[in-house]
Amino acid sequence: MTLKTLFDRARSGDTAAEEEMFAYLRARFTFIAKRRVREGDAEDIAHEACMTVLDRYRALAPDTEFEAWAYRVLRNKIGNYLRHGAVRRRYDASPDAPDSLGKGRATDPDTVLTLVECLRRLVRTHPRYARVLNLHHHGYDSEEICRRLEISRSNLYSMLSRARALLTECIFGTGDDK
Amino acid sequence: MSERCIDTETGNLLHGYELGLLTDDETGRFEEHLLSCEYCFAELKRFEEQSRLLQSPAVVGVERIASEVEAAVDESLGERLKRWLWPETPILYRPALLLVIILLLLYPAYLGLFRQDARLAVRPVAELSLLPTRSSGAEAPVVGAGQPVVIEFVCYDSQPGQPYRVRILDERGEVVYGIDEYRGFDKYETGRLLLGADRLRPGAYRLVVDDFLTKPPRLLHEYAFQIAP
Repeated sequence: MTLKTLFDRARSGDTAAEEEMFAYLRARFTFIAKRRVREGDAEDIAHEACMTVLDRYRALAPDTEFEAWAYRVLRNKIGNYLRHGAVRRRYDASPDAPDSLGKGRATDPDTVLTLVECLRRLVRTHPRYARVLNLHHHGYDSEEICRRLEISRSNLYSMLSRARALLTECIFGTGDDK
Repeated sequence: MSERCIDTETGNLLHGYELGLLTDDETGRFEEHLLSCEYCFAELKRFEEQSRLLQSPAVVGVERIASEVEAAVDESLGERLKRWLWPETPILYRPALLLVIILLLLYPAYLGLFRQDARLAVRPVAELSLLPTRSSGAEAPVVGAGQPVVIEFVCYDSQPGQPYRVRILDERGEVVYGIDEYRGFDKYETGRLLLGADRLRPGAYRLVVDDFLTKPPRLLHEYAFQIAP
């Protein structure tokens, strides 16, 4: 069931739809927040954002885009969290801070081996993908990467999509049971 | 799970989002899209561990592969050729390698492959431009012996493709060269003959053109020239 459908049903008084909408949003809010803050705080932020959405969604104007509004709620929560200085100092020093990817989290060797093997296969036919990764590792942003590869931003993202499709096919296979 | 993205243009940003390549605006647009697109959210969850590894330089294998490919792509054709011709070897071996290369280059010359065939050597070619004897009061053109000669002769009223009998006669009237069905006249009524260096000895000659189609062949034009010693 789509978010729009859940929202419409919840607004009309369907409590089951409201609970499902809460769970739906919480999973996504947590995922988005984890990219900016540490995992434990991300869950708290996601929960707070969901509570705010549930408190206020019935009062939304009819022409309001619910997804856009819900996303703004989350962004504001994240922004408030990051602006809170004491919390920032705490999480910056944390071993599982989001800017230290790979630290404090165990890496499954099989996952790494599979990824590396599939990456080796992929770059034989898509060397640009490896160049993008390498340039990104060296700190170049997408604008600079596009300039060096002499491609547009849309072409860059299209190329990444194709490479990702091949990579996932290699890693997970073509079946949909994985 | 939905089988396709609900907005493919925004969904195209997925891998850029996973790698952290999007601008702030693009990130906001994609994250908002995640709230309503089950397909993209499911894809992100499925590939979450791998995308984390791809962003992490701590995964040495990924960075090494990327660096190898980067080096291979950046290496120019000239550098590759140089690397192929002059591989990395200990410095002591390089004079020997250089000697081998020189010997390989000189071997064809040793076999005589570059020796010029005298028969194929380019020689200067003399040219003779002839006009019918009756219409020209000038002296007969002269060309030196011992070299190939191109004889160009104008034959008024000739037709391209039509056969004519062309003969060269010496001072005694003997035929020293002849073509019974010469069809080489062009639209400018000009014919050409190429004779080898040893074809004509020094002396006076006449080139005669007959209309081959009449019986007996009718003399059309006659030309005089000389081969000087």
